[in-house]
Amino acid sequence: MKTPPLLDVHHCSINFGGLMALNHVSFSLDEGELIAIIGPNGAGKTTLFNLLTGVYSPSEGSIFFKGETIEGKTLQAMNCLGVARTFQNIRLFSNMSVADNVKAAWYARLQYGLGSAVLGSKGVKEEERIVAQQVDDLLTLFHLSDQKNELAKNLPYGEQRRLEIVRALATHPKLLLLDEPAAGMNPTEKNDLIDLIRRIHREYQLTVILIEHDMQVVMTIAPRILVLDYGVAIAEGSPEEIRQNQKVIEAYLGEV
Amino acid sequence: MKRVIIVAGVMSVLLILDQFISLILNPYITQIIGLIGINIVLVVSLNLITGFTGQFSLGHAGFMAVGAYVSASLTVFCGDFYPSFLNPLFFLIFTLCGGSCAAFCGFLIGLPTLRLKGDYLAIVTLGFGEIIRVIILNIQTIGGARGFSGIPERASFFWIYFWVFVVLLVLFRLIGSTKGKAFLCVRDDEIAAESIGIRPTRVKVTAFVIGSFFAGTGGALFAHFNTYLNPSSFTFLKSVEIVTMVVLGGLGSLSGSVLSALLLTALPELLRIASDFRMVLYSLLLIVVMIKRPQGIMGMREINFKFKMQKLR
Repeated sequence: MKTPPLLDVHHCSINFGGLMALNHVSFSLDEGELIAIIGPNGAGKTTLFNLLTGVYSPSEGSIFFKGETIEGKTLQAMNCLGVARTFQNIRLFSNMSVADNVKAAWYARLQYGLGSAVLGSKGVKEEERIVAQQVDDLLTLFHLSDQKNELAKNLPYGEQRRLEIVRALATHPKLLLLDEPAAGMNPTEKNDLIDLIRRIHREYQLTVILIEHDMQVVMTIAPRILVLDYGVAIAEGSPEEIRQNQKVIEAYLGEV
Repeated sequence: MKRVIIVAGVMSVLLILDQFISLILNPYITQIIGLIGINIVLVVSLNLITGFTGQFSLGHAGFMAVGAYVSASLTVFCGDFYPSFLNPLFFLIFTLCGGSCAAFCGFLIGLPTLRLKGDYLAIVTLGFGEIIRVIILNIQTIGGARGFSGIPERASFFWIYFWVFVVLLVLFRLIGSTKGKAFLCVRDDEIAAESIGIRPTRVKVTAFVIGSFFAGTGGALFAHFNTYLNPSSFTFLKSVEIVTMVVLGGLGSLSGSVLSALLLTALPELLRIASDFRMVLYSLLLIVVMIKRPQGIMGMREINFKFKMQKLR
């Protein structure tokens, strides 16, 4: 028997007042897949992310993660289930150091409580040591260890994006949602980003969904692309198929 | 083991100072030193709520009043039930009771109101502070508007600075731990905090409970230091005074809080030489500091932070 897909979006719709932001969108995702979602501005891409992470709940249809419905789950609960995300406009803890930004991602998995943190028992020290070590490893792996004690808001733009991805990774997710990671990046930063996404996809065996406007990035890394336009999924397929698809060309350039 | 020695060391230094301070210094200065200690407890505890967790609260005087009145009435009304050599022990217990009642109030007010942000939360907490004050004003057994007098003087130098030590230790440990980073996360970005598995409401309620607990102990110290309580000491002006100290010291800096509690408590006394212009100068100094250092005296940094963290661990 075939194993159920990691993520199954089943005829999902959501409307805000009279606006149908998503209209019967369906797709499914197997473990280890990397898919890109593209579409013109206002097509509902970020709304779809918000549905997947429990920020909104669909007005119609349902979403299954690891075979179970995510109905009623909050953003926080979805993270504990293994869905991590980044944001279109970077949301870092700007007044905290780079290391603390990543460290905070361990919060939900710590064994000790605040009480023993105050009393400073042995277990706490041991756990703190392990967490600090893992944070260090992660920062070294993603070339952020030099800026470890820098405040997050003082990092250059590209590194802020990278830090946000590392923070999401630090929650040890199964599914990683990246919302326009290449936005505002220069060509060098974009190439670094492509390497980074490939690497986390491969090394961490993560399932990744990527929203991106930059076609160079999308076409290079995504084996499968989903196109949204006015809340409707108009096409799905390989980069080649999408490039030739008449509907997609119309959505971007207008009808001839 | 090292920790036990440090704690024992601090305690014995406090005890020795406690014995000698009244011999060396005159009562006026002893009084100011005591007030400084009480203010440190209040300011540091509010800094957890406002500075570290980013929740603007104007109800700190209310929590303080709860702690003050609960502990004072326990001392006054239960005074006959235990031998007097147990006074210090029972003072500790009653202070804890006062703190716990304040913490419970913090919990009650936290649950429904922490969905609010910024100004809205400030208004609700301000209302809460006033409710507490009006309730106290109308309970005749604890003096009502006449004030609550005849509270035995129990808050010696030792007890005040014992609590200063405790509140600083607890907050340093909390903020230093990975778990405690959640407070800062909620302050910086609630949505991002949620996205990494932190429940903002829970963190905020925790901050309110811990903060109001220490506000309550601060109140208990105040009651047993002044030996007289009056509801008018707990108006919202008192809250504003504490907020001023937190902001001046630096939102999110414990050493800044200690420093500004010390400065702002001592300053009005030091300015007595300027007689009539005393409060004018005081306000002017506040304005100048805020213009020159809008982030507060310490900003978000700590004095010699590393050294302290190592010692306390």
